[in-house]
Amino acid sequence: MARSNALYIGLAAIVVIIVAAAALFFMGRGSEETAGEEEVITINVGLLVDETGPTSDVGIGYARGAEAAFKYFNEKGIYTKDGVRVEINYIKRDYAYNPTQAEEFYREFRDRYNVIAVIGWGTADTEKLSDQVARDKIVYISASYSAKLVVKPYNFFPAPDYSTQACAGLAWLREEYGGGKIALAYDSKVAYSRSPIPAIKEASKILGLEVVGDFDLPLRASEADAERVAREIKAAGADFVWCGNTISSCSLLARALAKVGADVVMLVNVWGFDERSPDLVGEEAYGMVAGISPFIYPVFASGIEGFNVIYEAAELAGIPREEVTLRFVQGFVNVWLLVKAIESVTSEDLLSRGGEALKEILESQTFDFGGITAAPVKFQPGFHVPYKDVYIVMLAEDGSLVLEGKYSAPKGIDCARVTIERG
Amino acid sequence: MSLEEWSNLVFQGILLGVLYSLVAMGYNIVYRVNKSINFAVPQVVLLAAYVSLIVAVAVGSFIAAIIAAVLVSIAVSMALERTVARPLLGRPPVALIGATLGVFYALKGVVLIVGGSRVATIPIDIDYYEVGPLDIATNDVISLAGALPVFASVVILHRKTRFGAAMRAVAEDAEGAAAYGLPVKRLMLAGWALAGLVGGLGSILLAIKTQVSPELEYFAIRALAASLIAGLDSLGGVIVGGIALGLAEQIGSKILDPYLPGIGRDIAFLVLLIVLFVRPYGLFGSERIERV
Repeated sequence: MARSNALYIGLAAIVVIIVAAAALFFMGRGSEETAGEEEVITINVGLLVDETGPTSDVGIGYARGAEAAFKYFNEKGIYTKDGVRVEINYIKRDYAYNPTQAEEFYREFRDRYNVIAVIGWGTADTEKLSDQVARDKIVYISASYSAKLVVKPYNFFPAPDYSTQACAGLAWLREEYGGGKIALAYDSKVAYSRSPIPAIKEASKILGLEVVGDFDLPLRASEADAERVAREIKAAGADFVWCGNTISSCSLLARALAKVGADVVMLVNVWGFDERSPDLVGEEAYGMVAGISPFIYPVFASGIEGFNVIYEAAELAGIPREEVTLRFVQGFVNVWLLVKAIESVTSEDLLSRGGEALKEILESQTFDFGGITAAPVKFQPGFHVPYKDVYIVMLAEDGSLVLEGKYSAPKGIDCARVTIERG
Repeated sequence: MSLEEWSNLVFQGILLGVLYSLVAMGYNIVYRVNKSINFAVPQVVLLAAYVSLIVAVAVGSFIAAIIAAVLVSIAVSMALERTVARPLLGRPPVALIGATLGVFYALKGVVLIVGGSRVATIPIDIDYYEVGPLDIATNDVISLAGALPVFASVVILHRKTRFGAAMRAVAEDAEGAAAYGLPVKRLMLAGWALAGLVGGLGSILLAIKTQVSPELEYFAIRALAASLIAGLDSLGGVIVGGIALGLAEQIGSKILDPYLPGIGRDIAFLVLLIVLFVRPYGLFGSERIERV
């Protein structure tokens, strides 16, 4: 009996050793191999997404776009400046918008997979990790466009920060409708929703808009919550409403504003309005909602060269064109930015300095996405606001989406800095 | 704050509470037959909502959507009884709690495949009406008109029919009921099916009232608070528990949010905490509820 136990233990130990050796072999950072004649470098990149948590209403599309980009660029071939092929091994984790879980996954990315970059998601977790990624010299490209991240050395995103975007949106309101009273509806417990509020309050003064109050709209709002907030906004006599949540609660608020008969124009943050909005807000709210976006919507893609790449990638991934949404584009462009940076470093730098080399490239070059972003992406060292323009898309009276044009934050105020200093 | 604002606030609070009650009733029915909590309810609600959306879009029929939601919910609940609850009969209540928590996560994967975390509305025309000080929408009317008959039917079924009497006997003492020749296992299966029925109806009515979205899962989790406030073994009490919760959330948010932003949404759990401190078995529950 004792002998057979020893045999089993011995066999188990052999299996464990084989599995551990295989894991070490496949997970090594910057491993080099030769496929036929071609030298290939494999790098590991983390992909942190929310597909099951409270921001999954926009997170799924983002994750889909990012994954399609990884697959597409790997398939097409990513080559460093000196012509060495790079294969990106991406490790995807769904953290369900839980910052503590995000930290755990980040440690896994860093310690187990030795990633040199992470494609990340939310504001609270990205802000929380920003000092750590700087210490670890890991480039972190997030879906959070929080102003607090623009001064963090290893954090990047191919869009203006939320505060600059909001200020540009206010400039549009002022130009289109003149002055008036604005109500701010957002989830006061959520870092993403709170992020641009100090800048909005400051920019409103310059633009002649009067802030009539902060109204707490839960990210997971019920229709009863939305209606309560809508009545409070109506009672405050607002002409305009800022909605700083994601699409589920912002569309409920738009519907509720229409229900209570509030005569307002609602301006919505980038994650709170997209192609689904016409269906979600209902006909009664047509003509009173507009969304901000640093990326042009796929419905306006005609003639935009960059979309050829995205559509080709979608086709490769078996995704129909009609499923290429704004969220898909946002995820895709984040990965595309990383790929462009990899293509500008030498293989030696990529292997020896990893994230540090990518950061230097990101801060020294201009990246053009063929007209998808509202302007070319150029990061200044120490202040990563790549451009200051946004698109405004209006939900017209007939339910169609209308591109109002490109707008910039008002002169005389640096909205990102306002949030950094007062947020 | 005007009378109109208060009236609408109270109306919406009650409406939300009625929907909480409907979902909470599913928890209570299962508790009565198995003396444990079915933690898979939120995912069953979500699955039923997504299936109803798919059917509503594909078939274009609102009735077909309701039938689909109810059938899916009943089928999943019955499958849970046969594959999870029945093998655990006679085990401590915590065994079923653990098992249904496992099912919660397994179903979450299924829901992701079926629904893909989509956010959408059930395609119905929504009109608005003014009734006195109240602003009422078509979806408010459907939710209320759908929920009230279900409550009435379940309570009548439970109190006035032979089937209800048999169910009560099983709930009181399953072994004793078996000794009297009652088909206990079939009655337990029927109990889970009934829980699935009310859960499915709750799911579609919630979807009509708000949206079909992953957020429905959290409504169903808060409905458990309504169930615990009422007392897990009280069917009638759950209506009071749900409405109390809906009103507490809305009125609490209205009064407290200006001073403590965001406190309103935590009120469900504050109320639950207070009730459980004062009456651990809930407002209308029996004192013999076993602590696990």
